[in-house]
Amino acid sequence: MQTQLSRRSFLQLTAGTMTVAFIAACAPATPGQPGSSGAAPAAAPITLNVWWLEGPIWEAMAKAYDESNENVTVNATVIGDIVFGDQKYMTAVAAGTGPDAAVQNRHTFLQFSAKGLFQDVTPWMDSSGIKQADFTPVQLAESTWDGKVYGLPLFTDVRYLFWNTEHFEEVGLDPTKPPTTWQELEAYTEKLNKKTGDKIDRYGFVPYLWGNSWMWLYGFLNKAPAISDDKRTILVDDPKWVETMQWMVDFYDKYVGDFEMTNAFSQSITSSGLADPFHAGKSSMSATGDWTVGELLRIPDIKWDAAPMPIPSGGEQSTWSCGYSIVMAPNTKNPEAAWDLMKWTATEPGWEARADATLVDVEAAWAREQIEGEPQFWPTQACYIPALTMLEEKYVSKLGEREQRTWKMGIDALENWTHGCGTEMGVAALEYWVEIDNAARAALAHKMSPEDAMLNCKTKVQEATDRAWAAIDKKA
Amino acid sequence: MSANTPARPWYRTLRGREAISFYLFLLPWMIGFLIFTLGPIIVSFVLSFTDYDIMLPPSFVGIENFRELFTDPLFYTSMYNTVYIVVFAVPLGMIVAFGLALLLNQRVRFMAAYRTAYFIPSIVPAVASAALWLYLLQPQWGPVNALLDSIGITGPGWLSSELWSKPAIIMLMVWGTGGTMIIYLAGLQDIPQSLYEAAEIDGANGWHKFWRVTLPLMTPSIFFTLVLGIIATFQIFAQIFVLTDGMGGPQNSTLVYMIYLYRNGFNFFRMGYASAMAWVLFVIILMLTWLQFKGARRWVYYESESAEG
Amino acid sequence: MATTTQSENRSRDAMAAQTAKTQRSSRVLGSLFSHTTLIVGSIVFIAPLIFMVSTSLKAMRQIAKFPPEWIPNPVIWANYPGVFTYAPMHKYLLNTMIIVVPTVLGATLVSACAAYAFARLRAPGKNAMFMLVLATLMLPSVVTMVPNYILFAKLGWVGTFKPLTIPPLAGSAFFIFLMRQFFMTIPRELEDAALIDGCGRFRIFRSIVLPLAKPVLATVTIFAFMGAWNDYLGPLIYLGNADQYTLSLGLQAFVRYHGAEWGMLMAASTMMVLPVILLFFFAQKSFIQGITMTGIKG
Repeated sequence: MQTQLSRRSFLQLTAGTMTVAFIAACAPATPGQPGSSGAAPAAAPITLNVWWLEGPIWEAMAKAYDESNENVTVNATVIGDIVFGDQKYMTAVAAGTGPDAAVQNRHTFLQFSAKGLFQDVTPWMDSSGIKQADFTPVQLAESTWDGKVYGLPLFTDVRYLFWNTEHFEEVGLDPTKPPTTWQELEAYTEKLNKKTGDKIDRYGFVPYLWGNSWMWLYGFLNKAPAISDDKRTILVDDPKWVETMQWMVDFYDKYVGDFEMTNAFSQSITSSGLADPFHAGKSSMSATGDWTVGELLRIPDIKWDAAPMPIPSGGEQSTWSCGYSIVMAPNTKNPEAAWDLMKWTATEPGWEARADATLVDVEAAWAREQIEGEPQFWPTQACYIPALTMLEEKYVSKLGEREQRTWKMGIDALENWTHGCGTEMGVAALEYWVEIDNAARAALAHKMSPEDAMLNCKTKVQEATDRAWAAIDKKA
Repeated sequence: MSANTPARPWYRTLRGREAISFYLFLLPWMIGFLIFTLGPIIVSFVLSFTDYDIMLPPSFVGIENFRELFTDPLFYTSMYNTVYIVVFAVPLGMIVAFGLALLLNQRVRFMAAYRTAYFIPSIVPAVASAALWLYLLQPQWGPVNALLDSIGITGPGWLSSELWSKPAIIMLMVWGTGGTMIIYLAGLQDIPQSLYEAAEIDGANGWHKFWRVTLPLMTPSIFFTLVLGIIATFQIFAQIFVLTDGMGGPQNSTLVYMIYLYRNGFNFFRMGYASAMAWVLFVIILMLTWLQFKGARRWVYYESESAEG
Repeated sequence: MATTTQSENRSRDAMAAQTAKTQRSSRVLGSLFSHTTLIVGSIVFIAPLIFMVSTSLKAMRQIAKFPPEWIPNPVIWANYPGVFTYAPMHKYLLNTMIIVVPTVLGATLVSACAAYAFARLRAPGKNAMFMLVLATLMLPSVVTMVPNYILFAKLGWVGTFKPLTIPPLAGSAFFIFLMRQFFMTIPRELEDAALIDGCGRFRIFRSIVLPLAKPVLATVTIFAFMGAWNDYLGPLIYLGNADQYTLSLGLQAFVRYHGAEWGMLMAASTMMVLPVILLFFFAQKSFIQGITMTGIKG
């Protein structure tokens, strides 16, 4: 559910990489193959241990699965936060006490697949008629290693530009025309900044620190390469990255001002969800994720619209995605049942159950908060294309024109112009995430020049990447 | 007893039976002590010289853990953060508690109501307290920044700010100083009126009375709360864990020692390293406590030691 | 002669009256100062809790308003049942009680036994034993945390309630201490009389001393309850399943997964704080007495 990646979650992921090197020594059992479990009678009741996410929606999904499968009971446990979940999974698999299936973040997918922590499900896919082409390409690529598919992508997200149409009108801008280049972005921001004296009361736009874009969005828009094709060389010191960082620093100096001040509202537990500054009308534009639509639907006071991010000269239309896949654990005693659950969760039946449960949740929120009007449900993006179509037909079609347009843009992004965080960060994904964030903050606070910051980042992440590759190569 | 009394085995004598009773009464506690306290202390000491992740048997690494610890920048960061909080929160809490106790000691009306108001925050569970302060310190619409705004100050990001996250924690802790206040109040009420009257006769005014009578007689309570306050604050964990989602603040600014220790022991499963960290903390606390006891002789005044007649 | 004395007396009286007046007015000023400070201070200390309750009844859009409003409008009672759809507070409560009960038992019975021994009985090595107790008082719990975890992991107790329910049964140094102080104040005669009558030590303890110790038992029960109610680190490292979460763990999980729902978060917090406050109002004396007793040791 929570695909919003906050800095806090990723700072903890360092643990994962360190332990991965240690786990390199542990060789999991030979993965089961479809149909290899002999003449196992389907009648014997099975309890599937599944580790997935928290909340009433996932509980409802487990129940729905139980109801549609007589002899299988899902014993669902919360895998916990991204980090602890990964940790727990690793430790359990190494100790032989892991689950049958688990939900895993695609960030660390490469490393874990290479370590044999997931089972290759390509044969299962082939024999059950699930086509690889039916999944959104980037997310499937993120769940693939060495030509083999190691997990079914579940859900994902994309990021684009939101803006407050009322603010636009206020300063004389056409509310239907968002900025399409970085130059326009700057001009708009200047116009939208509302000041008393030197102090900014309402920000036109605060890139990077506010919303949910991180440096990646701007780098990809500027065609900055993150990693070499073989995933072994970190390219964050590329001139394009330095250029992006420099632009960011200049933007802050010219239009945002106080770094400490805006840092105060940066993505944290106290500024997420409905506490986001954009939602409170404190900023006029925001680069954030598609889930924001659902949040904004709960705040009728904010009049908004959305469009792809503005592009710098020489850049390209871009965004990035993250999310979770469902995997089969190596030591499972019920590979067939586990596969069935995976298939169910990732395709239409699972998504229908999930949508039904989320709808209930949304209606409850509407009733509880005494919001006027009909409850409006904005679905999370599935990675299975038929499920996406189902969501669009069944749920998005009930929403307004703006929402439908935005949804279609999101699909277009997924199919054509998004980058996957897993594929772009390589085998030391956590270090990369943390270090680029550190670099950005250092540069923005003028503690380091953009060039030095990016070089520093590259050095650290390259080290971690080399170490991770060494462990992987050793095992091979 | 005459020399003709036949010798009885020791366990039949009155003294002997008493001794047996003593140890019998003590037994449950002693068993617990051996298994859950003494044993672990020794094990923890041994562990600190090993690499141990529970799954594989421990491997001896000598002083490697300590060497790594002392070159670990996060060790110093977490130690700095912890000391910072101790240095500000403990004295501040004590001063506020003392001031409140003084005010409450004046037999004012509604004293019970005031006392309740100040005391209740100190019994609010740590997790609930942290959740509440997450709300209070919300940078955009939280009451704290709203209050500051009403007097013209733009409040900082508090928990999102490197600079202000520790002061935020200190605020939270001073809010809970009610327990200390009760201790001081009891101490103040213990001071016999006669001493004040005697001082008055000698021509002492309010300030003198405070400095010469109240304060010296309160030094035992002050000492007591100081020692325990330092020991407790060095180990602060729950509130900060909840406030920062287990992370330790923006840019590690509220990464306190216990959180870093927990991370090493229970996230990374480096039990040896965590034990080393525990012992370093233990030694530091021990030294500080010993220093305080030593210094106590100079400023803590125990009534039993009064030389004057 | 008489007049001088009279005038002397009168001027002295006048001076005395003057000093008394100054003293009185300074006392009034002082009292005014005290009262004002006390009132302002109380508001400052209690305001957070008032906000907690007030926010627990607000809708998100009102919570995000700046400046904040004290009175919820509209009043969203539904925040409270809403909490239960995300967090089974009743389950958390039950789990917390599972831990509270042994803690209280250990505190009262086992610690009382030990305290009685220290208060009344003589034995070789008693001082050494008492030193041990004192030392434990000042021992930072961090030192025993890791080995205890390992012990329980090896025993297979991690992921169960046992590490949180069994060790407290052995009592604690703090309670032993408190109760020893109290026992020492009970007059010996009662016990001595029973001893002469041939009563066994334990019967004396059970039938004579314990009933007299109700105040300190009440205090210790309260402290034990509070300790278990508030414990966070223990449940954090030992309880695995969300089904086992105690209130403290459950509330933290709520912060982590649904922290953005401020109204419900405050409702959940209120639900965790309320029993403690109620306990305080019912047992004020024991609370205050208890804390006072810890301080008196000095």
